[in-house]
Amino acid sequence: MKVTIKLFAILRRDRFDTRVFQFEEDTTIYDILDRLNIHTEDAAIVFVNGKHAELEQKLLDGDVVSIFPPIGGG
Amino acid sequence: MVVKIKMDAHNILDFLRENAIDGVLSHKIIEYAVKITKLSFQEIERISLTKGLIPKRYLRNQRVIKRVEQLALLNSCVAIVGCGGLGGYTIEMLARLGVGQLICIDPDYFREEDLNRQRFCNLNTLGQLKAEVIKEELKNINPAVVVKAHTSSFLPEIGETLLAGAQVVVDALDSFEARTDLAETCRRLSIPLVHGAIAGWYGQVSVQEIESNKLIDLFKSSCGKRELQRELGNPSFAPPFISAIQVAETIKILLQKDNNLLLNKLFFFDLLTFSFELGQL
Repeated sequence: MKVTIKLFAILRRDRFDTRVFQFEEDTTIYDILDRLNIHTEDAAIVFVNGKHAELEQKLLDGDVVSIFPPIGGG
Repeated sequence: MVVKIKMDAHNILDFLRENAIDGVLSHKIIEYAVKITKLSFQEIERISLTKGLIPKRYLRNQRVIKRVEQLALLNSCVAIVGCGGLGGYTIEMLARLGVGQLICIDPDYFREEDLNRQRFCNLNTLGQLKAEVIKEELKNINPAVVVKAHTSSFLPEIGETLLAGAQVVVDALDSFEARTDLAETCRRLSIPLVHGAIAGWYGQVSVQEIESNKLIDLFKSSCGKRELQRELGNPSFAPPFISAIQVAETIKILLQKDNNLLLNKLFFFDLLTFSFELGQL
């Protein structure tokens, strides 16, 4: 299945902004983070198709996954 | 302008009407009315707005904020938790908009490293308590605003006391632990919370619905994580950018303009590549 991954802020460093991947069925967000070598600590928010998702969520063909780092300054 | 009319609290309205030009009151007239009647700036503005007169300071608000809405803002109360980068700009904008009561909460003093971005930090205010400085400075910006300065940290045990009277709370804090406490307190007290956060070129804004735990969960899950601002710092353009969005959301809540609120949504900005994302929490 095809899944689009969008990275934000420093998660783009040495990776990419947006890229389409081919994944096997039942791939979770956690699997994707692992594959992209993104520590779960650096992924504060994940949206799938514009909706907040848990790391255990299984992805479907055509999904767009956006990953954001923790931002807490004021 | 020379004012020759003698007046007291009873004929204040006549005085204001006679000295308004096309229904608009200059600061000098309002100041004179305050001096003679011993009423506060806020009370004089309230009388004016109630009776159809507009203080000149709000004239350029008018296309966006009608007179009755200006009066509603004057009767409103907003608490700003954190008086640093985001908080300073937010407080200034709310004061210029004419929000009548501002509760400013921050235990810290201005330091040299705040000079790069914090609105009320300058060479004269270094070493002074942020909330106290802001209370003083706002007198020069809009004397109709009543400011409560709390120089204690936001702690859930005293949250209800600190936020007493606030219709909206603005999150201008700088840690997920403190944000979790604040979001839980707002949830418990049924006060809408306007969240903002910055780091380097990046920023995010959200509005917590009264009944929702979404932001609380988000903050909780981020506690203890490596926070980006520690690594990237905060340049001068990030606070006013995010702060302006927080203020717009705050005003919409106060004036019950419910459309397009960022309720339970998160807006993430990347000013380096000028990309942004809006998602449902």
